Amino acid sequence: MLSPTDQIGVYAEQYRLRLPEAVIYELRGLEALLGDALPPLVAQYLQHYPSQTWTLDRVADQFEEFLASIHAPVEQTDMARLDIAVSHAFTAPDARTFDASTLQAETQLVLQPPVVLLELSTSVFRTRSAALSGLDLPEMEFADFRVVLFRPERKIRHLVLADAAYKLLNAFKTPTSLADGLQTLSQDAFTANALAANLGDWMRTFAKSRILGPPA
Amino acid sequence: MFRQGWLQDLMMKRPAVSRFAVPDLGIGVGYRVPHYRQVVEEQPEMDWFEVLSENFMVDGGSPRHWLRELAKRYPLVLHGVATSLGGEGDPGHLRRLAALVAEVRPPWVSDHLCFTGSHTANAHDLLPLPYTPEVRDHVIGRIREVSEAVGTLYAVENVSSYLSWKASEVPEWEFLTQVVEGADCGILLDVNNVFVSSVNHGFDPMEYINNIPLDRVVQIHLAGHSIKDGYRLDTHDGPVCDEVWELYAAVIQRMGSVSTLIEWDGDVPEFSRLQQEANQARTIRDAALLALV
Ligand SMILES: [Fe+2]
Repeated sequence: MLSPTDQIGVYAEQYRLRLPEAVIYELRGLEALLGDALPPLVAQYLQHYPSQTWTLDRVADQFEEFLASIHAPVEQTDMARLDIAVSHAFTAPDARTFDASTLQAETQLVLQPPVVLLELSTSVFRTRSAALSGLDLPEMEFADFRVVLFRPERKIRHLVLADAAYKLLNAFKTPTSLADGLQTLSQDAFTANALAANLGDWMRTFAKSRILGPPA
Repeated sequence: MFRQGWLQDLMMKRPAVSRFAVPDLGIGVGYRVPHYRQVVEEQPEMDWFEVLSENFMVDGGSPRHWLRELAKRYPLVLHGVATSLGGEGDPGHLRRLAALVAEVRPPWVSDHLCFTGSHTANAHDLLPLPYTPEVRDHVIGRIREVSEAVGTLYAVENVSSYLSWKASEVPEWEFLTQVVEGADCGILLDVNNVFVSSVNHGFDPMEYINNIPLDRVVQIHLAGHSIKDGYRLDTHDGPVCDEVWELYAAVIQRMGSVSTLIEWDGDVPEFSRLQQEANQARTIRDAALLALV
């Protein structure tokens, strides 16, 4: 028979095994980036952010906040944000479709539930894609990237967007008619010109990829 | 050629011992990620599946897709790990569970006789309760609350445990009996957990089996466990051991055939290996039924 201390120890040991594994499972990009340097960070994270949710899917949600608090490099905070965004998009409500050819000025559109807009300072999305495909990690690029994550069916995909396309998507965070959405962007001449040249292509892409769609 | 399950059908001409009008689903296995696609696309032989409720209590995407496809092909039952019947209850969890039950419409829903955390911290573990009247009454209230929300038969499962509380006033089997009778719910009898706890706490597993209301058992769990230094750990990562098979046979001899499920969650093998384990359970069940005649 175990002593009382050893009895508690069984549960403590199980916690120390299970929780870090669950956190790392949600941080696959960061795992590729940091390798063996990740588990000590996860142990530290769990000390400061013990799980407060019933679902293991959400145990890593504060990891970007934790990394920022210890002044981790920007590619690490970017990657944590990307990993968590992927995790949310993976189980978000399914996206709805619309036919871009039927678009009217009054058509109401909204970003679909699995869509996440990200402003990143590093090319972590390339690193993550390469790692998950088993490829060599590309060199990290430090620049402003506007990225949209979306889930047309079950797999998460991403696109790197031109500034005007990113602004266009931002105009549909809540249900908005096409005319009103475009109106908010017309003040800025540079954006307006880019939209004039590309709107048709972009809307077809957003429709096909189920990035924009009808409200619920 | 006899069709599969003929012996079971013959035996089941005996009056059912269960007080609940639930079907005997046969022998099933847990639906686990490595087999999601294979099970749906190849429809391998299996009587039924148990799915972990929390894995599917999400809004959409891949998990819901595979669950919808599974439900078109096999009978299934929902089994949770995070209701925390000994704890306070999370309205968000309960709302999602009720929505999932409404969609899947399983013959029963189950979770564990335990708590999973304290105050706001979640241990993501099945922590054993002190067996006191206060805790019993709290758990009975929680089971009633959850049963009402899900609107279907509820069953509680005995857990494997590695510690016992000084405050406990009755043995686990008596606590379980008081809880299920007080809440008028079913039992998911985990035979492996009875065995693991019997070794860890030094009681006779048959005393456990002989002192719970078997007419409330709607389902059995079987699983493998690990032998550690000084205790047994419920790991679900290997085949069922001989002692647990013997205990299973003893339960079947006392209550007749009942829906039985093999849990295999760690080092998940090929699906064909799970089928073998299910066939082993079928053989042992049928032999036990024959011995009962
Ligand atoms: Fe179990």
